[in-house]
Amino acid sequence: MEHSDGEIPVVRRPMPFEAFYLAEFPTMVALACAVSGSRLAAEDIAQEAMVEASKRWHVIGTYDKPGAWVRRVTIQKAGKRLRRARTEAAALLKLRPDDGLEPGPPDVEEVFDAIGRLPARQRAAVALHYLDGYSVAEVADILECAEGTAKAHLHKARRTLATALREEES
Amino acid sequence: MTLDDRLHRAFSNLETRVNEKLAERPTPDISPEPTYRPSDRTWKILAPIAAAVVLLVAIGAAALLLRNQPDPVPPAGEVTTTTAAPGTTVPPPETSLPPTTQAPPPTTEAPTTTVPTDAFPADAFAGVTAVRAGADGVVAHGAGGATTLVDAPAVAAYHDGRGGLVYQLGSFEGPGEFREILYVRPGDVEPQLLVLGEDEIVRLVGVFDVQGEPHVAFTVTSGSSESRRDTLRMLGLDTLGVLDLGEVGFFEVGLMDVSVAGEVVVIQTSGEGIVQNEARTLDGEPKELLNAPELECAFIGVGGQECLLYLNITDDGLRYVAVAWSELEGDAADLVVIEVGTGAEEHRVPIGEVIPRDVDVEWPYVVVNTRSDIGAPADAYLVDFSDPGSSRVTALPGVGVAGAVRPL
Repeated sequence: MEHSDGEIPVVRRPMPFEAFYLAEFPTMVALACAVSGSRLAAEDIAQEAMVEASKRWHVIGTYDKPGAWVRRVTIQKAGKRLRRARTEAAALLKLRPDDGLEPGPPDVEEVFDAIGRLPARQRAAVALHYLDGYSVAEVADILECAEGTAKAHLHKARRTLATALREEES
Repeated sequence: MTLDDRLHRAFSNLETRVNEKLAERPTPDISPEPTYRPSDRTWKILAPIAAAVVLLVAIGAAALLLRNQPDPVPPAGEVTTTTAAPGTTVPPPETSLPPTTQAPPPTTEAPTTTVPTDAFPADAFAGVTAVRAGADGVVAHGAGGATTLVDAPAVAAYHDGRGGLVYQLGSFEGPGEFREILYVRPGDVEPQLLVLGEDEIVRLVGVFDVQGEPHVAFTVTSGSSESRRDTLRMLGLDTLGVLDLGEVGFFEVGLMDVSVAGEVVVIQTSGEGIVQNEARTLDGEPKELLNAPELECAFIGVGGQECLLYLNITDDGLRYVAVAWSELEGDAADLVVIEVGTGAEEHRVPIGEVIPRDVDVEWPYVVVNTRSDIGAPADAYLVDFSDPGSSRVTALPGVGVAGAVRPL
C-alpha cells in the first residue's frame, strides 16, 4: 500500500502479553462472573478470552485499547456460557468444590442476583460501567453498538435494578 | 444507600474477592510457546536442496505451459468494462468466476453443481432463494441445490434484480481483509470492477433500486481510529454515477429502504435495535420523513426481551415488517416477524446471535445470518413464510453472509 506525501508508516510494537495478562486477568474474571452469573465458570471464561487474545497478540497488542477487545470477547463468551451455566453449575460443584469464588455478603449477592436477571447486553453494560468505570461511549465501543443504544441499555438496566432491589429491600 | 452506591460496592467487593482468590494460586506460566525456527546449520543443508527443487519445478512448469498454450482469448478490455468509483484505484482485471472443472463445495442439501460455461449464465438465479458469500466463494441456494457462482473467498453478495451478481471479495478475518466490489452480468466472461478501497475500508451493503436503476450501496471508512469517517455511497449499475449519501456509523449495519421519490431512507441498526432512521435526499442532505414513520431505537414489546433488528417500509408508507429476536434459550432464538395490521408471527431460529436481513411484505423469505463468538459470520438460515401455517427454517450449508434473492 502506498503512503502519500512520503509519510512514514508507524509500526507499533505490541506490549508484552505477560504484562497485559497480569494486569487485566482479575478484571476479566470479575467481568465474566457478572455477565455469566457463574462464580464457577468465570475464571474459565476469562482464561478462554485471554487465550484468544494470545493467539492474535501480534495484532491485538498493537491496538490503542487491547483491553477493549478482550472485554468484548469475554462478554461474548460469558453470554454464551450463561445459557449453559445452570446445567453445568451442579456438575462443576461436584468436580471442583473449592475452585469457584466465595460468595459475597448477602446484600452484594442480592445485587448480583438482580443483575443476573437482566438481559445479556444490559448485564454487560452495567458490568463495564460499574466494574471498569467505562463511560457510555466506551461501553458502546466495546459492545459494538451506538452510544444511544449503550445509554438505553444502562438506563433500562438501572430502572430494572432499582425496582428489583427496592422490592427485595421491602 | 443509592443504587449507584450499591452497584459500586457490589462490583468493588467482587473485584476484591477475585484478587484474593487469584492471589492464593501460583502465577501461571504464560510465556509464549517456543516457535520452531530452523538453525543456521539446517539452512546451510536445506538451501541448496530447496534451490534445486525450485529450479526443477520452474523448468517443468515452463515446458508444460509451452505444450498447452491455450487459444488466444480476447483482451480483457473487450469483454470487461473496468470502472472504479471515485477515490479508488483500478487494479488489473481479475477473473473470479469458477473454472469449469472446479469441484463443488460439500453440502448437506441437494447435490452441488458448478456453472458449466465460462460466461456467467443467464439462468444463474432460476429457482434460487438465497445467495451466500463465504470462504468457499459465492454460492446460490435454491430448490435445485447449491451452485457455486464465484470461486473466490467473498464477504458479501447480492442479486442485482435482473440476473446479475454484485459481490465483494475478501475474508472475514477483519475489515482490513475486505477487498474490491465486483459485478458480473449474464454473458460476462469477466467481472466488472465497481469499487476498490485501497487506503479505505469498503463494505458492500446491498443492491437497491433508486428510481428504476439498481444501485450498489457501500460504506467507505477512511482515516485513523481517532479521526475515522464512514460515508454511505451508491453507485448506479447502468450510469455508474455515484451518490454520496452522507456519514453513517461504523459498527451499525446500515439497511435502507429506497423510495422512488428521490429520497433514501437510511436505517441504521446496532444489532440490538434501531439507532437511526432518517430520510436523506440523493445528495445526502437530511429530509423530513414523509413516507416512513419516525422511529426511535425500538425495543418492541412482544413477550420478553426482544429487540428490533430490521424494518422494511413499503413505498406506500403504510405497512412495515419488523424482525426481532427474543431472549435466547438453549441454542435457539425466537425470530419475530411483525406485519402491521396482521399481528406477529414467531419462529424459532437455531443458534445464537442473529442478524435478519432481506425481508419484505411481498417476498416471503427471511435470511437470518448468525455470528460466532468473536463476531465472525457463522451459519445462515432461510425462514420460509410463504405458507403461514407451516413456515420452516432451513440451514444454508456453509458459513457466510447470505441475502435473499427475489425472482426475476
